[in-house]
Amino acid sequence: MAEGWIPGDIALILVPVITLGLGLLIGYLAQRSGFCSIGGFRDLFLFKQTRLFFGYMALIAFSFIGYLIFWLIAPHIIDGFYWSANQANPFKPIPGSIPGLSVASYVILALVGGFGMGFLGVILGGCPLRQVVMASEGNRKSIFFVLGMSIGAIIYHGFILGLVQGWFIAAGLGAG
Amino acid sequence: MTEKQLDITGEVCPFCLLIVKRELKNLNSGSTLIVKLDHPPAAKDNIPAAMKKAGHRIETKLLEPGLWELHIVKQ
Repeated sequence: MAEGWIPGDIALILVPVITLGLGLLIGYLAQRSGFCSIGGFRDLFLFKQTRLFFGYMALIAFSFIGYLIFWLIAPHIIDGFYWSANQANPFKPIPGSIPGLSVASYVILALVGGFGMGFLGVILGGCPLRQVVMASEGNRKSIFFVLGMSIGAIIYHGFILGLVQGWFIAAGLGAG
Repeated sequence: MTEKQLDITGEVCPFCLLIVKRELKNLNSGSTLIVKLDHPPAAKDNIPAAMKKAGHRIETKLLEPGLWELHIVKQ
């Protein structure tokens, strides 16, 4: 889990096991609750149904709380959170991030990616997590969604990320 | 009292509920709309919740894994 907190060789085994366990729990809860972040906003605006929306808000709230609790327990593990919250110059690169990408460029990437995921998620019937759950239930459309999403991520990381990074540096949004 | 069949297999949220709402508008009170669909969130959550909220009677049948039939009686 971290340098010094848990011996390296134990962490090598512990982390995958805990990750798999938590993944199974999240999958089970998502399947049982029908959780869908995009469905939350879609149903709120289109049908005035708030069930999924409140589920999504609870997820955001509890992930913040969980993050802060974890930060109190082991601050040396997640100093990035504290660093970006206190970063005066949004154009300075984040320690450990891809060389050249600053907070500002990540915000732009997040907005573009978020808009794309939201728009396409509504058209395709659910957010990525919901689609993964439905794919595991045998829903054919969702299986193709998950396949496309995975291939898209490989293509972006393999061929497009370098271009985007270059644009940001050329536009002066890279290393501040 | 009419009975209308509606097959929306292949459709996904939000279009499932939008189509059902549009079809219900054209029916008279007491008529039954039988909807066949294969999108889990619509069959299990959205449509039943919206129909109950609007006061219609709804009965959900699982025809086979991943395929549902909803019987909606317009109020």
